[in-house]
Amino acid sequence: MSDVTRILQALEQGDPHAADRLLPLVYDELRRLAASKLAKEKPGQTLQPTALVHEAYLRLVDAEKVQHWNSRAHFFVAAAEAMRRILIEQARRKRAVKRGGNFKRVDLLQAEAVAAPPEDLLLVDEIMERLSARDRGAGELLKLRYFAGLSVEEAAGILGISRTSAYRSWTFIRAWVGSQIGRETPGE
Amino acid sequence: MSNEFDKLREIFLEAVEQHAPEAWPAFLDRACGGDPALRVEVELLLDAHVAEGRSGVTPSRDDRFPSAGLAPGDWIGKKVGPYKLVELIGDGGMGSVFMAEQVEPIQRRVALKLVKPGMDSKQVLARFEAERQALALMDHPNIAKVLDAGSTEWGQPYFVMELIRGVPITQFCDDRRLAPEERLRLCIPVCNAIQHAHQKGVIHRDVKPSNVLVALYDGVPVPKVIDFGIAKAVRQPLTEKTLVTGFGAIVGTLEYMSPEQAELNQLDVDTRSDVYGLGVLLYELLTGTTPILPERLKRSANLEILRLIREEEPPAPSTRLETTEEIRAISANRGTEPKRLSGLVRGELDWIVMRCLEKDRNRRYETADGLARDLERYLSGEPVDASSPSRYYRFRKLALKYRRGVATAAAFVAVLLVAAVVSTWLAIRATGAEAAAKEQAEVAQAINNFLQNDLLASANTGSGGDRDLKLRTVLDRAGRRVDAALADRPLVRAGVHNTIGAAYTSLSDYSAAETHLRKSVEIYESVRGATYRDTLAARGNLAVLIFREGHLAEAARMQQEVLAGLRATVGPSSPDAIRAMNNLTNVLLAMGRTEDGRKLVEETVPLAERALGADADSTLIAKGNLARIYSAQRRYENARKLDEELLATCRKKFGDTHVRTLVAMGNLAVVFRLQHRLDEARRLYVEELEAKKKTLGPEHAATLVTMYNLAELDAAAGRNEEARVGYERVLEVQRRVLGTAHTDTIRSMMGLGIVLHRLGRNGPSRALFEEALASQRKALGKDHPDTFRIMAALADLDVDDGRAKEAKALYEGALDGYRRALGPSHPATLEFANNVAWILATSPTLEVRDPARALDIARAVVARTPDNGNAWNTIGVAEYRLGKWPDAIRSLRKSMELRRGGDANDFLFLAMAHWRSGDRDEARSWYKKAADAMAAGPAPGPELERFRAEADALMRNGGR
Repeated sequence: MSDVTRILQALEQGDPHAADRLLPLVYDELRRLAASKLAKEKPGQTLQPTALVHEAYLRLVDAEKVQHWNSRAHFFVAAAEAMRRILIEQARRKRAVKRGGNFKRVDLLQAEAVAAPPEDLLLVDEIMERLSARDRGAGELLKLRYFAGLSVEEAAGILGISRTSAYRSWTFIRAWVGSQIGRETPGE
Repeated sequence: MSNEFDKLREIFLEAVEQHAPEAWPAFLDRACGGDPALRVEVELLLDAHVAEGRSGVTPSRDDRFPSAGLAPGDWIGKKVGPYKLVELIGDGGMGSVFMAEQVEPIQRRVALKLVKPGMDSKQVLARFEAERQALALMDHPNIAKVLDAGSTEWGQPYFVMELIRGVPITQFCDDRRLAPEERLRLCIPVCNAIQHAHQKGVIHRDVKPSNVLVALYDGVPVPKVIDFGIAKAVRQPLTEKTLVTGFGAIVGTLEYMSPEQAELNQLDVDTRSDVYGLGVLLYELLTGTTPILPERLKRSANLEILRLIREEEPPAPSTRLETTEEIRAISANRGTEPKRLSGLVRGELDWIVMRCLEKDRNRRYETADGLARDLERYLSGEPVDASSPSRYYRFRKLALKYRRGVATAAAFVAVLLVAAVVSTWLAIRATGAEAAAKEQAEVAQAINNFLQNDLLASANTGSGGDRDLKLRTVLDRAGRRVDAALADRPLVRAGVHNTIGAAYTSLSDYSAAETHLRKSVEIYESVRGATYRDTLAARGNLAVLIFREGHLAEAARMQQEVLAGLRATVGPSSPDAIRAMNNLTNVLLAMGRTEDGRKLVEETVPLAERALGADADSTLIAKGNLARIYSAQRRYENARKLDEELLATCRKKFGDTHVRTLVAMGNLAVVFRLQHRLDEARRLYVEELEAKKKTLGPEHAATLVTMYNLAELDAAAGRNEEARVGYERVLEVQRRVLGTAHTDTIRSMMGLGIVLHRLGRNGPSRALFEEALASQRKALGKDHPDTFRIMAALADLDVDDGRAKEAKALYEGALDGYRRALGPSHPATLEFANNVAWILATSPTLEVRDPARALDIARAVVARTPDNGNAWNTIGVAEYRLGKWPDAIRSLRKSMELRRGGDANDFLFLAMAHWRSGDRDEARSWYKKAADAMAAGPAPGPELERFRAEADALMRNGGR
């Protein structure tokens, strides 16, 4: 039985510390997966965070043993956070790379995983934090959508809210993010 | 979830779900009736919502990138509107081109361009319609007519054009191995066609070989420009969003895109963008390659590509020919030898092409016609209009190249050099002494030569130059060489030291600056004496440096001497003297000598207006100083009016994005900030920021200052979390770009530290203050006024962390420092003294509290400013703490008088003092007054609550 499966089971049994152990495992797996994917793909290929997260799930979680819906949710919440960290780290690193030169080679994941310039990614992350400070649930929804690439309905399932309220919430979040970008200083 | 946020969300969703957009204003009137701030927030959301309808911010799988429809080949035989598609004749980035048959109203063959799926056909067609009339007016033998436009039943837009049975001009020329001259000849009608369109008000926006087809009519090659009006309809301006989402849509024409089209959010494309396109076309016809090689574009990331287009100077065509490996094939295609080809192109043809490719469109040919005429001149052997870029211009370009990052200050050096030349010229006029003037002009030229050659030489090593070369490196290098290289020319040497020193000052490298400036002064003095004009000017620069290092008194003394000297040598109304007056004012204001500053400015403004003109730089600066004086006197309305007037003048004179305009904008924003009109301040800062990002780049030191100011606004408005984010972002860049010892970086550390303290994150806050203090001492010495601000902030933190002893020591140390650095009467010194006294009188931490010392300090304050109500309030509280009830009552009453009736602070301590004196009724009435004031005003802070609790306890227990 994989470590992740064991942790998810512990979570089901109400072990509150298990969640802390989940994130590093998922994070490592996603990093590894991303790297190996990109080594194989042609340059310029887009890497879908969604595909990555789903593949990590299949690899890490023994679906036979973990059937509880809650466990799936725990996994995806952790995966979104892990994906966020990976993308942010790389965006930061990329931003730190001196201008000039051909930095396409620096790291393909950061360039292609989300077709956004690093500044955008960091901006969204900041805005997400701001949103979370006001409404945790909305922040989580944004994270699942943006960083794990889940659809609104998938995210609704994970967060345990109804589809209708997830769609409403998403309408609001999109507008809110848009309004924040407008008032932020885009392109930083 | 906060209530306010919840409310915002619900109103927004109700508007979106239950009301049509037309009904939103009425709905918002009802829903946010008394709350304009809320309304603004909702409106912003609705705006974003409407914008979202077009393209999402977040990549989501469900609402974008509609899957492509049919493959191009599958369209053959299908009908699109009244046209039947017959044959696929082209397939490009924008879509596919078909030969099509029209049956009605006339039977003819046309070219039909089917735009790729994924574009909003309504918008495309609307944009096309907007230009349709202008297109109809075009009638030129070298333009293919656009006949029609529409959309397929799947919503794909299409365009119908005159069918040209030709091939792209580059291919035509290569197939026939046309010689360079023949190629140029073929381009002249292309220029004429573009000129014709421009006269009809149509800009092509996508001039490139595949849009210039050549067909033979009666054996004569005739070029035809196709696709007029289509680029505009199809292409969206580049924005942050298209960069993320739709970049693919514009790929393919990037090699031909003009720098202004590669700007984000650039709407302002004019006829000179087409001149640029023609230049690329010429370049390609001559060299077989585009100025920016497609391989380079393929290897670069989106933003990097745009930067390349905007900033990178392409090699001249002859240089490209000399460096390309395919020169043999290219020259064979042009029916000539490699050597002859590059020799032919070098010189005038290089100039013509490069003039089209200027990054700054003001320097391109004004019109396509101008280009055509120069080509004709070249072909007939006359001298061309385009010329080798001047040295000054090359220099400016160099400055532009370095405008990002630390290298920014290269621009500064360029400005200095030009300034040297201009003031030399002015000196000629001022003295009328021809011989002296001539000599001086020669010296100035020699100075410029040395620096320019040095800069240019180091920047142009290798083919592409060293793009990462920093100005600092250049200065270091020039600085090391100067003494040996110019050993026998002391005046030139002094001039170079002066320039290098001033540039180091702008980089905040004060110790290097001082070395060079002192050397400069020394040489001038020994050669020409202390009263020589250049000696004085160099001393002026040194004074500015000393001012920046925080030695205000010394700087003032020096500036006064410089001013007196200049008045005697070049006259009191000379530009030099007026500039010195402005510099002196600056120092006086920093010293808090507002009255002296006012006298000087009131002398400067009319003098500058008369001698230099109302809009001259020095005049505007003097007026700006006057506005600062108004602010210092708290006459904010006067300051605002004057600053607004200056801003309007600058906008008119220099344009909205000129550096001087931006400075004026910043000044006005500061006044708004002081008036606590934060929204207005913010609006200006945002505009300033946008302009700076565009003109200076996102990481320019000046851009960062504006970002800092925006964060400070957030902090002032109590939006600590936003302020934190803003400060962190600025600080991250400043650390990287300016280094930790730069004053701007230190200021951001302070800002962030204060906000973190407010957010209760005392640990990180302390770390920042300590770092700031260490950097500050290293950069500016321990006696700079800013050092004491950091000490005070650290002391506040110490109080909070229960480190009373350290806090007290820091406060006293800082107060002492303020007095030393700014003088005991400086408003900032007095305000700080009062703050320290207040903390010592009222601190809830008993180890910090020291009312006797507080009384001393506050009394010293009122001794200098008897009308300082805040200080009287402090005195009253300190006296109360010391048990001097009648004194306390007298002081607090004085405080009330001076502060327009006083506030709850006064009332509570009056109540307690009266109670202790036994006058209970009076005490109760003051207590009630305090309670009423607290209920009526904004939510009382913890401090006031503490005082109320103290009064409660006292009066409930009945003790005395």
